[in-house]
Parts: sequence; C-alpha cells; structure tokens
Amino acid sequence: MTTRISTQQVYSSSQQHVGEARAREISSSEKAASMKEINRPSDNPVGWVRAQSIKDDLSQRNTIAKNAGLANHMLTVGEGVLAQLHDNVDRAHELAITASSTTSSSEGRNQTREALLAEVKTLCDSSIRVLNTRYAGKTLFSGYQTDKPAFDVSGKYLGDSGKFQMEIGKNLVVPVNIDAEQVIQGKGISGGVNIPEVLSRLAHGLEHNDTDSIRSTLDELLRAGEQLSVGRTEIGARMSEIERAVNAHEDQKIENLDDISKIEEVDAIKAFSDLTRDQTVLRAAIATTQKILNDDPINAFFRS
Amino acid sequence: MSIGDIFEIGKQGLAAQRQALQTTSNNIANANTPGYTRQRPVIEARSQTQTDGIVLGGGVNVPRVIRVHDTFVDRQLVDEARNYGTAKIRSEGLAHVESILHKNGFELGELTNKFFNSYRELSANPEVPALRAQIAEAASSTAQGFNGLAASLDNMKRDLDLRLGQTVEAVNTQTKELASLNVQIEKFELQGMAPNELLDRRDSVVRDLSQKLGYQVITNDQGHVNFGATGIGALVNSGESNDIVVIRTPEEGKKAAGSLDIFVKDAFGLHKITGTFKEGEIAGMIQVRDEVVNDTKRQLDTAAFEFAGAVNELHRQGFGADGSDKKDLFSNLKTAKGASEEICLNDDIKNNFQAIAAAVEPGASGDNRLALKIADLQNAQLMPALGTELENSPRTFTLNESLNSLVGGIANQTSREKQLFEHQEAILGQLENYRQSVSGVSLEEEALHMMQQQAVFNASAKTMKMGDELLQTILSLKP
Repeated sequence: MTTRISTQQVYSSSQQHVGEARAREISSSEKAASMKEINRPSDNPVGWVRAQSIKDDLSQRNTIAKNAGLANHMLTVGEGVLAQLHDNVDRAHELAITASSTTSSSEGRNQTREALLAEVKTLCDSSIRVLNTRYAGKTLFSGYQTDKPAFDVSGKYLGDSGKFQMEIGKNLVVPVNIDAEQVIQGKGISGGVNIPEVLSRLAHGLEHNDTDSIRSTLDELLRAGEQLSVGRTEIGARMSEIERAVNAHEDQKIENLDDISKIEEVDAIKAFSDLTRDQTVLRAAIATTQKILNDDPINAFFRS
Repeated sequence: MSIGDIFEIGKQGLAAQRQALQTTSNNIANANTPGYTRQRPVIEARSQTQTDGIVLGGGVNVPRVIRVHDTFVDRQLVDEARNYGTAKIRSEGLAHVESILHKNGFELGELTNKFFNSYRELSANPEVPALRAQIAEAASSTAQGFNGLAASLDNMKRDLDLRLGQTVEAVNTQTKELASLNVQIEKFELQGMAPNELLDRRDSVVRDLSQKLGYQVITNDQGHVNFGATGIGALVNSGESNDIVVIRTPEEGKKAAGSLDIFVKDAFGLHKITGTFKEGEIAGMIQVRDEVVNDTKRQLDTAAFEFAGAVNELHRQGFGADGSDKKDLFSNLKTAKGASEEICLNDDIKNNFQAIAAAVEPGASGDNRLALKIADLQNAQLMPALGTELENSPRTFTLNESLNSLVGGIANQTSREKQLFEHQEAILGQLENYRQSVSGVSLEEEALHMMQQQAVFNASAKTMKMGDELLQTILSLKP
C-alpha cells in the first residue's frame, strides 16, 4: 500500500526542507563570519566555561606581568643606587687611607686634608642624595614612607622598616624596595655599618684633624662595601626571580591563547567549506521545491 | 419497475453525485485550511424493490458526509501538545536567560577582573591618587553590572507574568468556546447530523488548550470533551466552564513575592491551582519564572553578597590615603536576598576616593599590604557550590568560577531544553504528518474524484434522457 500524500504535506515538507537548509546555512555563516565555534555558551557549555576561566586567568596575569615589569625597574634603579653608593664608599675608603697617613700640622698637609674633607663632604651629600632617589613617584629607600626622603642631610633615617612587596606571580610576592635599615644602616647584621654615619664620622675626623677617628672608619668602610655587595646580590636574586616569573607569564600567556583558540575558534578552511556546502544544499532545496510545485501535473488539470 | 422509476433512479444519481461534487469542492476549498479534516460522502445503494417477482435496485442514497480521520492519532496529537507546550516555553525561556547572562554575565566577569586588577595596580603604586579613582570607578561598574543583571532578570519575570496573564485570558476564551461547541455538537448529533466543521473546530481548540493547560482531556459518555486535573475537578464540564484568573500573591516556596499565582473561579469562590500545572505552556512559564529566573537571581544575590562582604571585611581593617579607617568599600548589605540589586559603592567612598584603603597602618603612603590582600581575593574561595544554602556551606569557588559556573549551568540547561524541544517538535511534526496523510486533502485525489463524480453525474443525466426517449417511443405507439 502506498503512502497517501496530502497537498498540505507537499507544501509543508518543502517548507521544512528549505527551512532546515536555511538554518544550517545561517549557522555556518555565523561561524564563518565570527570565526568562532562558540558564539553563545550553549554552543558548548563546558568549552565556554573553560575558555572563560582561561580568559580570567589571562586578564589577571596581564596586570601581574605589568606589575612585575615595574618591580624589575624599581629593583634595577635600587641596584644602581647601591652601585653608586658602593663607589662612594670605595672612594671614601681611599680618601680615609690617604687622610690617615697625612694628618700632621704642616701647611701643605693641611691643604691636602682640606681637599680630602671637601671631597668626603661631597661624597656624603651625594650619598644622601642618591639614597633619596625616587622612582615612579616613590622613594625607594624609605620603607612605607615612600612620599618622604629616606635620609635627612645629617644622614638620619626618616623612613620605616616597611617591606614594599609586589605581586609578580599568582600567590607570589617579592620585596621590591631596599631595606635601608639593614643594607644602609647595617641593623640586624653582625658587624653591620651605618654608612651615612661612617661617612659623616670620616668628614668629622677630617674636619677636626682627628686621626683616630679617621682610622676607625677604615675597617668600617671596607665592611660597608661588603654590606652593599650583599645588598646588591640580594637585589640580583630578586630580579632573577622576577625574570623567571615574567618568563613563566609569557609562556602561560601563549599557552592560554592557544587553548582559547583551540576551544573557541573554528578551522577557517572547514568553516568556509561548510558554508559553501550549506549554501549549495539551500539552493538545491529551493530549486527542488520550485520544480515540485511548478511541474505538478495537477496544477495543469485545474488550469484547464 | 415502471419507466418512472428510471427517472427516479436517474434523479437520485444526479443528486448523489451533486452532493459528492459539493463535498469534493469543499475539500478543495479547504485544502490549505489548518485543522481541516477531509470529508467523504457515504454513498449507499437504496433498498431493493421487487417487481413482478424480480428484485431490482432502488437507486442511490447519500445518508451522510463523514470526516476521514484516525482517532488514535488525534488523541496522540493532543497528548504530545502538552509536552510540546512545556518544551517550547522552557527552551525559549532558557535561551532568553542565557542571552541575558551571556551579555551581562560576560561583562560582569570582566568587571570583577577589572576591579581586582585595579586594586592590583594600586598595590604597585599606593601613593598615586588617580588609581584610587580608578578603583572607585571599577567598584561602581562592578556593582552596576550586578544591578543590570538583576534588573534584566526582573524584567524577564515581569514579561513572563504578562505572558501568563495573556495566556490565561486566551484559555478562558477557549474553555468557553469548548463548552459551547460541546453543546452545539451534541444538538446536531441528536438530530442525526454530522457537524464536521464543528468537530474540526473542537479538535483544534482541544489541541490548543492541551498545549496551554497541559491538563488531561476527558471524553464523557455524551461525547463531550472536558478538561480537568486532579484536585480541581473539571475546568470544562460539558456545556459549563470555569474561568481561571491570575493574582499577585506573597512569596511562597520558589515563587517570589508579587509574582502571579493562578486561581480557578467556581461557585464556591477562588481556589489556587498553580501547583496543578505540570505540563503545557503555563507550567513552562511558571517553571522558567520560579525555577530558572529566580534561582539565577538567588545565585547572583549570593555572589554579590559574598563579594561585597569579603571586600568590605578587609577594607574595614585598612587605612585610606587620608588616614580614614573602618570604612566599607561597598554599601553594607545585611542579607544575601536582593544583594545584586542593592550593591553599590559606599557613599563615604563616593564622596572621597582617598578614603579607599590600601594600607594596614596609618600614615604610610607606600603601605600596600591591604591592597595586595584585596587583589588576592580574586583567587580566594569565597563562594559556596551553586545551588547550596549560603549558611554553613563550605566555600569552594572563587567569585569568577562561580559566575562562570552560573552561566555554564544555564547554558547546559539551554542546550538540553533545545534538544528536548527539537525532539518534541519532531514528534509533533511526525504525528501531524501522519494526520495529514490520513485527513489532509490531496488535490490529485480530489481531481480524480471530480472526474469520476462528473462522469457518473453525466451518465445519470443520460439515463434520464434515455427514459424520456423510452417514454416518447411508447407515446408514439398508435393503437
């Protein structure tokens, strides 16, 4: 027994076929236009959640990486300050050696001592100035008192013991300021040297022709140099840690972008070949419908 | 048999074929009419007559015109319309919630990222005043993101209630029509007539009502088609129908305060029947409103409450650039309920950005410890698992994980409901296709019927002409 087909079935099935072909063509064209496999979460709920959490991670990492860059710059500047201070201390040590061997009352020697005093004072002023260096709006050696100078002209510390830390990775922070109390004033270090105080004492010794006082600074200035070297080494270690963190961010960023691309994006060749196929199917469905409806012999009967 | 009988039989043939042709032309005219069932004349030979010991045919008769239909398929169409109604509304509703969340949820995720990142930037430069303004802006935008999402969900609930009211009005019109059709059809049938068009109309109304109400269809002994549900009796009973009405009622279960409940109005007053809708469009609207939209709103409230609470708790422990302390960053939210609508930037902060805390000690412009702690909240497990009670639930998700899961959960449901709807649509399409193959008009078939009926009509006229010639022959005989 053949299946009976009513006239409405002919039209409705044609409509259905064209409608389905049109829906597939729209879906393919949406993918080809956006180049995305997921245009709304329900297209792939699990994939959408995964892509979204990767994007959240990426957004967080971008800011952290920016901060890590700033942290690196701050430490670089801080290291430069310590290097300059180190030079000052070395020079002061040389001057102290000279001064300790030229402290007599002859006039020529007095002139030499005064010249030494002038240079030591310059070194003192330069050291205080360099210790008050500001970067990105903050004093680097004053703990949390970043809006104030770290030392006054007499070499008195004005900051606090705050360790200014910055986030350089997820749940990873490093101190990016220099602990002046430790590195500059020698607090908490066995045999630590208060560098501004030693320089000041050297100047005072030269000013008052106090050979004992000058000699007392010789050993301290040597230790000050070592103290600064330790501080610089510590900064170097932190900079390496930041570099590793920044590299890890970069690697993770590439991986994240790759993952997002795999989840969200379509294969361009497949997208366009699907679109071409669906457009061909749609054209065929329309042509078939026209043929079925126009060539229907019963139309001819009713026209006659 | 007399020659007169030939005229009578010829006349009957003409009448029968005319009625058949009328039915055919009616079928052709209704070939595109939705819900129309093709009709067929029942053509019967008349009782035989015995003349001079010979049994002769008595002509032709058309006692009735019948509808060609399959009762089983009609019944299945009514049953499946209930499931179709639920699936259609749930699929549309979930797609709408998804589009709200995808736009606003996606934005909200970005806004919370921006908020935490702005705190992260402040942690790097706590002495820069402009960064506090940036945090105020990000906090305000995040709060507005929550507010916008809550408003969109509320609008959707209002739209669903509006649609519910319109559907109830349409149901009342159709239940009255069904009751009236029951009476009219019975009247015709008692007179021995087949009210085919009225029967078609009743089938169509029953299908529509089934799709909207999702109630069981009960046909009684008199052939009346009635609607009813357990616990409320009949909504349509023979020639009587009870109106249903919508009334705004207080909060109950998952239903929010001010949303519509459905009541039936009978001789004893109003009775709430909201709970009797298990299938159909009305049930779909109630489910989307109370389960999908309200649950989404509740989860959003939880997110806003926990987020603002965690940020405020830390912020109160810190000091602003102006030395102020013990201040909330966001307005103080007392309960989770309504938090997504109420969350906003604290007025004290709105008026003075320098009160935004970054330090744990006063008077230290470079103290960034609190800023680091608040930025770190982005990775803190602040949120309970979706759908769990806020009280005493372990916090296992970060804010953004929770927001992403909320959108992902809705997306999952949307995908599932879309498939269910497509499946239901296919079932209904298949049944409608089958109904069409039985009851639909085929123009080819009708054309053949027309040719056949025309030929018989012509032949019948010819028999009368021949009878006339016979009569003339007899009359021309001369005695």
